[in-house]
Amino acid sequence: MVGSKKSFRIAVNVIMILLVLACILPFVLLVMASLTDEATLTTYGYSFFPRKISFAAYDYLLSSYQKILKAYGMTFFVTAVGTTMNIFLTLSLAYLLSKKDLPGRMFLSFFVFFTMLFNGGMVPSYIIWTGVFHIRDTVWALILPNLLMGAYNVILMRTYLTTNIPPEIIEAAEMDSCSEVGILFRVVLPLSKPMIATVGLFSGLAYWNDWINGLYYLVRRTELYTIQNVLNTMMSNAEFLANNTNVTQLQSASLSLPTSGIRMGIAVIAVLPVLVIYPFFQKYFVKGIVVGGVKG
Amino acid sequence: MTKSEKAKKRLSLKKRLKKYAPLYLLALPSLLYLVVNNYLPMGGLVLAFKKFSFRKGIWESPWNGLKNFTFLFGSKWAKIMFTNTILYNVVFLLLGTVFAITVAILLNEVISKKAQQVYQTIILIPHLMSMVVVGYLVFAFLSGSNGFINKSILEPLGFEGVSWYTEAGYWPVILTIVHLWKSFGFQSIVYFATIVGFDRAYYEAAAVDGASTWQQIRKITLPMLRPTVIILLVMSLGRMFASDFGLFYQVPQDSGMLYRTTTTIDTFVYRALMQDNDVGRSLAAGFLQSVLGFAVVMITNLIVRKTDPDSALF
Amino acid sequence: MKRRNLILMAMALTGAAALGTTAGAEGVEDWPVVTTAVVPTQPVTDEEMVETALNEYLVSIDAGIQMDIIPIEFGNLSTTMTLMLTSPEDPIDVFSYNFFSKLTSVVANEQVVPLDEFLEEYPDIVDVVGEEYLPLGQINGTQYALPNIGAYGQIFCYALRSDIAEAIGYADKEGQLMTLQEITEMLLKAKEAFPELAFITNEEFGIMNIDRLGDSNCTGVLMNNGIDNTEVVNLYATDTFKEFLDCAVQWKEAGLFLDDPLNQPLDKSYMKTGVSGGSFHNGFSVEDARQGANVYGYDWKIYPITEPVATAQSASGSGYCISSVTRDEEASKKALYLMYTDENVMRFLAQGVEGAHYVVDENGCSWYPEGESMTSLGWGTGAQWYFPNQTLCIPFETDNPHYYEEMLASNDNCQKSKAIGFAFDSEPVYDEYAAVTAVIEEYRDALVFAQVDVDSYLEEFLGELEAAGIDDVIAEKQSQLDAFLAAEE
Repeated sequence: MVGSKKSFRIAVNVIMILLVLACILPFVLLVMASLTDEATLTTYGYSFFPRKISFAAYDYLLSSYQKILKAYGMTFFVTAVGTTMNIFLTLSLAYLLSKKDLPGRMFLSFFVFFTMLFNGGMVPSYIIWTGVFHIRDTVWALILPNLLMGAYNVILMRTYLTTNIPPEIIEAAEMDSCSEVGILFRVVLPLSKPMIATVGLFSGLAYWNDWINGLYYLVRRTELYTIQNVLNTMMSNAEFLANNTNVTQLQSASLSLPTSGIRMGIAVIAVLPVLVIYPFFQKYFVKGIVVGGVKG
Repeated sequence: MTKSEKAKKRLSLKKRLKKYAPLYLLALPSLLYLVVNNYLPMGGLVLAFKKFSFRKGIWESPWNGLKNFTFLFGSKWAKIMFTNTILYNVVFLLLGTVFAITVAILLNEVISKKAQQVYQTIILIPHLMSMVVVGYLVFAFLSGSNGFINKSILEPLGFEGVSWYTEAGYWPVILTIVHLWKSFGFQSIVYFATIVGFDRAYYEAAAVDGASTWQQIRKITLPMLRPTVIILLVMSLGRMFASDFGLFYQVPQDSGMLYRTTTTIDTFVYRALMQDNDVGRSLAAGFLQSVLGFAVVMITNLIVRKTDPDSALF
Repeated sequence: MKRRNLILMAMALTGAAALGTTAGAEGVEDWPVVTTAVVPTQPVTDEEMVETALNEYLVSIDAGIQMDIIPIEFGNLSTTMTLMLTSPEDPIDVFSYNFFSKLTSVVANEQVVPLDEFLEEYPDIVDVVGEEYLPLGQINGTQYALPNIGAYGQIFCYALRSDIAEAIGYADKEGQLMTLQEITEMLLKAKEAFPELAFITNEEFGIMNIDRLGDSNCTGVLMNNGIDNTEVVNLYATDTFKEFLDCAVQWKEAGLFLDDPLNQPLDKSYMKTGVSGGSFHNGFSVEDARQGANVYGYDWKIYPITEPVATAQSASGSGYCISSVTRDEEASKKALYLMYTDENVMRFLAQGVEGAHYVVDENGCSWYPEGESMTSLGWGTGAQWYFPNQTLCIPFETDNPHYYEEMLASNDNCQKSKAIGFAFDSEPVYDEYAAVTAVIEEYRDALVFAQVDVDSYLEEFLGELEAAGIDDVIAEKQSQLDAFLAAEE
């Protein structure tokens, strides 16, 4: 019994290590590619051990470090504010929907889910957000449209609340004459930490990775760009120039085309901070939430 | 459980409304947000049936009947792209779910906190890379002349290198691997969060009864995951006719010789409309995907509601 | 209004243009503001400086308008333009459809206003553009855009690095017209001498002497550059294409292509990194092509494959329009007019502020300021061709002060396709066109880079094209072209 347990643990770790390698090796390759000399990259392709190292990509990126630092700042701000609001909005709606005897529960669930399927495309959203709410060229443009709350997270949260929070606990709280809102904050919230962390993580990643809002709504004030906007614009400039070389007049413009090394470098600096921040979320994924005592 | 539910049912509508009034109020901002961000722009869907004029705007543009839809069905591609889209989605959904649950359970069985954290962080890396970059990486592995698989695996073993980017037959497998690789970390976190949120009392009781780890997984973890799995599956069915554009466009590098196995509705639409900025036609394609996905969800949800009401989406 | 004019007049009389901002500022506030976009290849920081300088200048000439410049980077162009053209609150008033759309589309989407009135109000614009090139901005006889003034005629050529040309004894043949087969022989020799280099790194259909009629898919082209015929044909079924493929097979066998040509970005940048020893290239003359190649570093020899000829393809592609949601059409017209005729307005937009963004040498040519380069500058300065009338600019990064005069002369002297100004509207055969496009994208590159058995694959390709309805597309194109030619006469 003990032996088989031990070999099970070893097997688990071996499998996980293999998976982890599968995830990290391509990333290492990416880092190496960003350090490879441009001509070497074209001639010999990517390699874990490049024949010729070059820091040109990072020199290039460092040359605009002020801009990049500022954009990082914007990203942190937007992600923090957006995620906090997102968690509140998601939780309050999901908690309402988790009440099984809620009048209109089915309709409201449908109302939420429907938004996952249908959307009117970018033009109508643009007209509403700019024409009615005037968010263009403001920091709200990065926070409000699309990312503030999504049906997916709401339903995820609702499912967690209905499956993981024993109704007995809530009933007990009700009997202690807690208000419904009080129950949410005092009983449900502490029990939902893993899912709140998950929703927070998803929302945070969505904000972190978003460049669409900046592209749509920041036209004149590009100094508000987040890091992804800065990087994505570099990337799409490069893609664009690479795809339009048959246009005769582009000859001189194509000279400033970021090299593939730079594109790899961009990808690296976009990913790294997340790896630094992510462990902060992890402390909420702790096992051993013992509701206990309710059921034996 | 059943008793308490019945007790609740007995409350009158009025009483329940009163009881939940504060919660409605609390959720009001969220509901309003959906109206503003999602429902108002849906008015733009009329453009699927109009010839959009930038001068006249959404409402004044002339009607166009079903003309925006015909380009989807005009050629042999109609069959190819619909079959590809659906088949890929089915495979992704099944393998993806099994894979993600397995990883979540394994992760849960790792005892060392440090190791668990490291694993959890690293399996998220693929999700953080954009598809363009993934496209480059795949090319690094599969490139005919410099790729790892040819240069470092096949040729040293005495096999001839494979020209991956000209053989459409390999790509269903390649794309499935890439998709799973990119998405499993992210998906398994949902299941992992759900599992760690389970009441530990069940496991403790089982351990006292001498249940092995495997038995605990089978008898406790999996059944308790069931509602979450069903909900996530039903939700994904809504995207049955949509596809990850980046995966099917960037990763095969838009290579023409692979179109037979890499064309999905989204890549076809992109290629067809690339030069036109045709708002009406692109909305029409999206609308069609939504309607079909909607139908699938409604049917599945109906079945789920009949068999397992607690897991139904609505 | 009157008072301001008086002040301005007084200012103009005393020549105190620099005072314009302080003195004229009050009345100027009422002037309508016209927005236009510039398209830099990297973020620009000096928008305010250039805008201020431009607006001061507009005050000094009492233009009656102010301008608001919005820099939009290439990669964002398509999305940003599409959105701004929907929004009457904050539109983009004067814009170029270059790189994000085409004339037929902006007209079909009703994104632009007709310019016929504009031509009546500002008749001298006709001479600026040149009457014979005015149709480049017309659809069905209505003027919707003004074409960018540039080199309408092109030669397609091969640019070979000078050291290679000398090593294989071709240096003195520079400038001689060569057939594709002769080019191939030259390249085979070059490859033998420099086996580590690639020699074909881009795709250039212009070398086949065809007028693509503004359609990069070549669904129906005019052979012989449309100089002597107006018959729309299926390029892929012609002997010319077959001969081209024969060359491609030789290129493939000799290893002239880059590795994995189907999966690498194909462009001329390999000339710069030393990966390739040459590339297909173009320019309005041999000198222009050489100068364009020299920008990539190294010295280059130019071997023309075609005569200078203006086709519907080479001449079209870019033009300036007024948005249909513009707030003030009259003001936009004025701005458009100034952008085509006023060298100061053009230079502010395309070159920036003298001293800060470019310097002029005693020759009359402009250069980057000392120690600056494209990436360090706060304004996009090297893309004069993007703007309405580059010939008003100071030639940039060249020793030839007569660059633009030569360019304009080449427009008068080159041969001309009969189809110049024709633009195909795919709408009547939209579904067939989409299907044909998909087939071309599926098959063409593999053929052109000879990655497959060319003979059998070509046959399959032609069959698929037919099944997708290429005959309908060609017939439609022919009838549109015939109607266009009839209207021309």
